[in-house]
Amino acid sequence: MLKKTNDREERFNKEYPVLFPVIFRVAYRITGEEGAAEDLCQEAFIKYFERHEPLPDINQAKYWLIRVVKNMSFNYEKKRVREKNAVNKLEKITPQYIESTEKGVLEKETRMAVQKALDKLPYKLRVVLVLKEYAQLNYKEIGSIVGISEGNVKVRIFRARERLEKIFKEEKLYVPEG
Amino acid sequence: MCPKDELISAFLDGEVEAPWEEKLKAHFAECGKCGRRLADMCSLRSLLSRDKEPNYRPAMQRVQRRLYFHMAAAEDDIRYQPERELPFWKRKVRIPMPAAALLSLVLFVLFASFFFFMGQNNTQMAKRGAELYNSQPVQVTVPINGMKVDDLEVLLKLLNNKDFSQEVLMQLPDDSQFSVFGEPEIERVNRER
Repeated sequence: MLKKTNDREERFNKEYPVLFPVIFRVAYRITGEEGAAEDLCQEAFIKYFERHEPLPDINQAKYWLIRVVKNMSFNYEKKRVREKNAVNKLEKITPQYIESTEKGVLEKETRMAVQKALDKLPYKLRVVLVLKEYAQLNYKEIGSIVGISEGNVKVRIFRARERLEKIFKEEKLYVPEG
Repeated sequence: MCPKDELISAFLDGEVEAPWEEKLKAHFAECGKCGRRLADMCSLRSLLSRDKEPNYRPAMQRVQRRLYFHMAAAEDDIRYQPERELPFWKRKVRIPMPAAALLSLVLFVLFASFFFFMGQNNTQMAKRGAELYNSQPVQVTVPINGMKVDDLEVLLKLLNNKDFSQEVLMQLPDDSQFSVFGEPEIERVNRER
């Protein structure tokens, strides 16, 4: 058992510094929140190191962790939508109170413009685009993680780009590269 | 013929197969409209990649500390996991072999002596019963004619007779003892009377 423990520690020390930045980046881009990304990463790594059978290589570990983070971020997304709806309902009832609290929240928020635009994308489109742009996965890998065909990945990524362009143009954030 | 935007997007991602990739490259060089579309998508990608991200290092260190703590706690749980409380009939008892042998011997001696003394007691009781019977014969009184019967054979004949329907009083010996075999009803009634 001691050998198993040492193996696990060795694996952790080797894999964690490589995997964490990628997983954190994906989690942050999907959720749009630093705190949520940190929580999701922690949960995903706990699950990973509690696995009875270690994965064959670090790439497999990366895919596995991304898949876990993606699944957990979906639950987070649902929760966020519920909260947003609740806030909208409250806003109708007590507009002044919400205005003041929302102002406080907004002051704390330091989201970047691109992240704000990403947050506006539907979850299905956001996930595939994030996996493409921030995890540098190919269509096959994305399809396997999300559970859709490569053709579907292609369509979703294109639609996500199309929508982002629209959002950027609307908000005058689109800066073509010179 | 210009390719669809979906294909340009796939080209940007390097997901177009070899013969088509070359053809598309040539087309982008010739067609201004498709070239611009590709440039727009490249710009979008550039914008996404240039977007400032939060520094992951503080989060990485915090999570690492928590993971170490979690793994240590999990190992402690495995190492020092207390035995689950079993119901007493499922609990295992470990007795050292010499103690078990001694216990077996003691139990054997106890059982053997019990049966030995019980056997002796029974023999004594039987002898005593026989003596009592012989010394103090059963006395039966039939109250109608006051006849006393001390012969057991006669008594049994009387009781077996169909026409015999009178009340019979049986007097047992005063010092009769049945405690080993339990108190017979007849003795209890006799004592209470």
